[in-house]
Amino acid sequence: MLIRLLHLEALGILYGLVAAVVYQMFTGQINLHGLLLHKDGSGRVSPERIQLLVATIAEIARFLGAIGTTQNSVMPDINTGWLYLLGGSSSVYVMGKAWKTWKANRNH
Amino acid sequence: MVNSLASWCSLLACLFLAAVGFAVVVMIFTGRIDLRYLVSEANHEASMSRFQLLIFTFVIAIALFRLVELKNEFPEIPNGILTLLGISASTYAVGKGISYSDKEGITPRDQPPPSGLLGGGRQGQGEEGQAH
Repeated sequence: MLIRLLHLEALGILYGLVAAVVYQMFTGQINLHGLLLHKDGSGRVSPERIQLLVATIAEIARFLGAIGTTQNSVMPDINTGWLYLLGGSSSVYVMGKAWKTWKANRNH
Repeated sequence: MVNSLASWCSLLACLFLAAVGFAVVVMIFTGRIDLRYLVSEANHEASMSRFQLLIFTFVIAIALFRLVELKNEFPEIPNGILTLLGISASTYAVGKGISYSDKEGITPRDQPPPSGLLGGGRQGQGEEGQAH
């Protein structure tokens, strides 16, 4: 009975937390302004942010697909190719951000 | 006697955890825990690296929960998952460092009220209690 209660409790807290955050994102209570824009105030869309978002969504889709089809209850591993992709994508994003900050500091 | 006491303590701990978790979720839903700037940088603009870390954390937590449900034991976490979370957390940390190296990165900008994916927004609230 205790195990059943713990199970329901963990289920409720985890999915409740996810639901709360997703709901607030959709209704605008969590600020997403400028998520895909350059931070220089120009209002232009930032390509490195778009590619990071696409890489993230692709990785999540692949991982959730693997979780859904797992038979032996083993956490699916992420192969090296995907890690290179995500590492490269994150590096491009960080380097782009660093370059823009350095340029802005130099112009001041 | 001892077994009975242990059972009661376990039940009490379980109920306490449930109460705390339930209170946190309800307070988030009702806005008493303010998550407005959960994925924003110090200048109040949304950060892609924070957003990514949040999504990965949720996805891996849900996956882990599902596997524990299936097997009734805690599964081994593969190195690939740890590396993935490491990459994401490092990107967040480096991004934060870069933001704080520039004055503009920590100065809140004038911007329209927070808008979400459906275009709504929380109106008429101050800046207190920000989540950074």
